[in-house]
Amino acid sequence: MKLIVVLFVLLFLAFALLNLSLSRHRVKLSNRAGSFDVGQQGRFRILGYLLLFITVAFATAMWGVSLGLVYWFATATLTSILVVLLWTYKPKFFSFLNRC
Amino acid sequence: MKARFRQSMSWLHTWTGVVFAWMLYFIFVTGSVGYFENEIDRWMKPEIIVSKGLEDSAITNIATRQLRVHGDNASQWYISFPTSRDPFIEISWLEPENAERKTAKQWHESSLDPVTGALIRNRQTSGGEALYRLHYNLHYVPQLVGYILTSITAMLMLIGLVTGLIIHKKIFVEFFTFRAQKGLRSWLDIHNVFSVLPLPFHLMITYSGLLLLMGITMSPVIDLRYGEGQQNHRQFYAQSQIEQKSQQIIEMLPTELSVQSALADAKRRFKSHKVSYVGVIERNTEKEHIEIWFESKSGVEFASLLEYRAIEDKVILETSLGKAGGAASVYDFLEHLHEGLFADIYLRWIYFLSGLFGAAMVATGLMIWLKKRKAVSSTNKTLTSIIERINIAMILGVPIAIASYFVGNRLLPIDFPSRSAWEMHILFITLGLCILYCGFASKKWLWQRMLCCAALVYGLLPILNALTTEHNIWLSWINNDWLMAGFDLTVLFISICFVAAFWVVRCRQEDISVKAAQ
Repeated sequence: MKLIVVLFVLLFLAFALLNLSLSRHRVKLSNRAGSFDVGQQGRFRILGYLLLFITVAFATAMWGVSLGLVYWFATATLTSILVVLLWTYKPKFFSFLNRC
Repeated sequence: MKARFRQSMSWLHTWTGVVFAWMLYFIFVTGSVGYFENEIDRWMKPEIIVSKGLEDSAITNIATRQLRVHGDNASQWYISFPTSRDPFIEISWLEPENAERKTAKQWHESSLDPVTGALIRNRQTSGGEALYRLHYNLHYVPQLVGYILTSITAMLMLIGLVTGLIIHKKIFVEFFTFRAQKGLRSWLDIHNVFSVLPLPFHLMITYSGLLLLMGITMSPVIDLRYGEGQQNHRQFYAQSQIEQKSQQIIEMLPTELSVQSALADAKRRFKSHKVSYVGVIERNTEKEHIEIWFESKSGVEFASLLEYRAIEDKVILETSLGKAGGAASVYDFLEHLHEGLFADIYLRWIYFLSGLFGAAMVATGLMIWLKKRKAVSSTNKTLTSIIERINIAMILGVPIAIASYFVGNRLLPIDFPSRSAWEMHILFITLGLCILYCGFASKKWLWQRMLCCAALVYGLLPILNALTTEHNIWLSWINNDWLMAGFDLTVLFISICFVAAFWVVRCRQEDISVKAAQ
């Protein structure tokens, strides 16, 4: 159970960062709560992809390759949809990443 | 060239999607519900008594005593131990055919009272299993037709997925994009969200679904090598599905071999694993042996198997190591992924949700198709109107019909003749009524009224459960009967979702009419 929570949080963070790294999306937040610069955007993208790789490694190490990948894909689906919903209806939620 | 390729793919995407869309939607919804087959079964058999804290050997004692009484001449026995998904004791036995009484061979099953050891008289019900089977046998059509129709639908779905990937130009840039309240743009966005984000699930489920039925769809290939007919095909299955097994002689006398001693030995070998089933196979023949199934803890396997058999003066233990052939192992792997029997509660919920996302993908696809049709002035208005009406009837009728199946389980009298068949009839009658109603009622209120109906029928289920049985949410909660409470709470939540959808549609419609008035 704890492992799932760790995987969930890390993947959510990864998708949140990747989402903000897309320039078109960034505009939405900068209008409302502070702005992001280009350097930040690059950092977010690298960090996001890095987190994706880390979580794959984490899941396969914890549950074995086949079950680990099932957990990873399942959690990725769930967290990415959560990011979409939050980004549509509560974009301010992501402003905590502003300070990074 | 490139543009024309995309255009033709777009055409293919539209038509492979639309032609079997309602069937695809039906398959997605019933298949998703099937992931909770056992949990639904428990709700549909409220007489079951949950067993807690009994030792495995005590359970075996109770079960074998009943099996001796009721299935003494049976060729197979199975005892199913309480697990988190089926927290009760169940026995089943295969009654051989009887020439005198003219009965064919038949499986019987019954759950047991953990305290008295007596058989529990469950109500006759089609249960979760029939609901789960709906997604590939389509119930009323002959089995073969059901399998072939499902396969064709799955093939079209696979084509739809691949072409969808090709025509989606900005898959990465628009990965997280949903622009709400922008008309057709929003529908396209949400269609993409439901398709792209659960894409691993969609691809896996469609491809493995096709593969699971390949024995039917690819049967000419088997004919070519093994000859036509079931008898010949069995040879193919026997040959391709050979299990790899390790054998060892164990320190036990053949006279000592019994269900109890085999169970004790198996538990010594797998200390940390839980026993899920015990079976006695080919009873009263020379090939009689005992099977012990453990809950598996490795990969996507559901269970691991130990077999005990007495040969001359020794007892041989066989351990299954999976399929011998490479193709069969791939088949097994995809089958396990498709069925998700290995899934814990977290994965099970995501399986269920992903299935519903699939259904939503089909539904939103249909909405887009209809909206585009309506925008073109040359389209046949009556035809689009009929399709639109059936569309509403299917999108909301299927969930309503499933709920009515549960209502049937609670409201049909216990001694109603062919009760379990009628539960299923009720499901399809309800679906038919939904289509009929949507065909004739005023289109303006159709979404709202159907949503209202869905909310009501799902909200009714926990109340019916409380009124007709001794289970209600409160009691299930304090008795830790999580499956019962879980089912009631889930349908209640679904009901709330329908209420929310009802409000959204209502507010939208009011907005539109205010604007129209201005």
